[in-house]
Amino acid sequence: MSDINITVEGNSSKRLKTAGKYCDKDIVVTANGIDTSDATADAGDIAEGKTAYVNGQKVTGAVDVVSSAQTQTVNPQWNGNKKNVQASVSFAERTILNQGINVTAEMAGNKFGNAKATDVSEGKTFTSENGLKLTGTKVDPVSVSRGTPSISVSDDGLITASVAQAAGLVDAGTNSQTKQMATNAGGCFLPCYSDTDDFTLLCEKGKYMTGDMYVFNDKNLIPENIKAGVKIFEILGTFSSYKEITAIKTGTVTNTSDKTGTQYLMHDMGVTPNLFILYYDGDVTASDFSNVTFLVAYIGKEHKTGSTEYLGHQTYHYGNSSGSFAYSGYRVTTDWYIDPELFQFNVNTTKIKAGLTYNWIAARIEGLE
Amino acid sequence: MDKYYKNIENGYITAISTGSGGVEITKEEYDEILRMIQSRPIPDAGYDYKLRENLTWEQVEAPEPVDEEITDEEALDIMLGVKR
Repeated sequence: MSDINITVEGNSSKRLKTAGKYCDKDIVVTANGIDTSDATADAGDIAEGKTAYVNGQKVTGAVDVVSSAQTQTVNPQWNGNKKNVQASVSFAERTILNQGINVTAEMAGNKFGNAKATDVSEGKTFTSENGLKLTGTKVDPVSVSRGTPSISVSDDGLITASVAQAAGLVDAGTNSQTKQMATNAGGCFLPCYSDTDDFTLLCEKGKYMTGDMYVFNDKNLIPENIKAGVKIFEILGTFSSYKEITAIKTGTVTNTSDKTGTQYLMHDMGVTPNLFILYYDGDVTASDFSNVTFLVAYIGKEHKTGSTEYLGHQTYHYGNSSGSFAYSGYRVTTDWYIDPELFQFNVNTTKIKAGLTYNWIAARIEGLE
Repeated sequence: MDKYYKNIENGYITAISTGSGGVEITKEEYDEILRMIQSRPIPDAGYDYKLRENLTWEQVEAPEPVDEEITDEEALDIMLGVKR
């Protein structure tokens, strides 16, 4: 008889198939081990380093075994539906955690914010990087009314709006304030005369100009139109109304009689006057002086022949006898050519009191109109 | 230097003057005539005194004052010394 190989698989007893008809009964081989024929585990199901028999085969496990405490950093997420914070901890696909192993899910505190107790109302709890379910200590302000600004304008024109706001919660909104400044509508103004004030106030300070302000200009405001030496609005005048006296002669006359009707003749005066004044610096009466007659005679030369001829005369009455100074004057109005040597100025002395010495002035004033 | 004059009409000194006038005289003569004028007698009503060239006074009837405007002819007569 040849050898019979009996293979026992697993840990169960099986009836051997009849391989020959050497025996008229089935040979039953009873194994003492466990039948592993129906095991399904493989290395991925068995802890790393551990062995098992699967289907009669020794299999060495390859599954990681966590035997020490684990710490994983997780990212917390807010689950609005459940109103909780969730964070996932993950391991490799097949991991064996030994019993008693602590797995710690570590979440960064700043994921929960940075509030401090002083930031949170008193009695309210919160969680942040500063702690879990901390209690706030912040005392909430009381509600107060909004302040209303006040407006001021400085002397320099600086407008300032300020409000004194009480501490507390203020409702959103607007409070406004207005300030109507004094106004000046402007205009156009003429300089004016005053013998008491140097200035005339046109616009008081602190007023808001609502219109332009002008001062009239005048093209005649030039030095040539202002009396010499007089300053008007800082313009020094150069105009002079004084006439140039080109010749002047003075003298006296004393009558011997009151009412002789004699004409006093003055000639060869050396000037051709256009102004003659007779005056007495003393007490006289009106009848003594007020009607002095000036007789001006013109004796000129005819230019071509050089002959002397009488050209005409003018008489004039004028006088003032008030007070102690009496005068009478005459202005020659002709433009005739008059030879100074031949000019005669005659005074009717019938009204000049005898015995009094009168003064006379004969002058030639250029430009006298 | 002042110049001194006297005006003479028909033998009477009618006036003295400085600066201009009729006949030029000395200051001494001027002063003498002036002293005579200042001591002129007071004439009676209707009369006047005229000073002769010899510096004596002569009482004459006073003429009426003439205020009317004179004509050119009268003016010329005056200047030419024509007695009217």
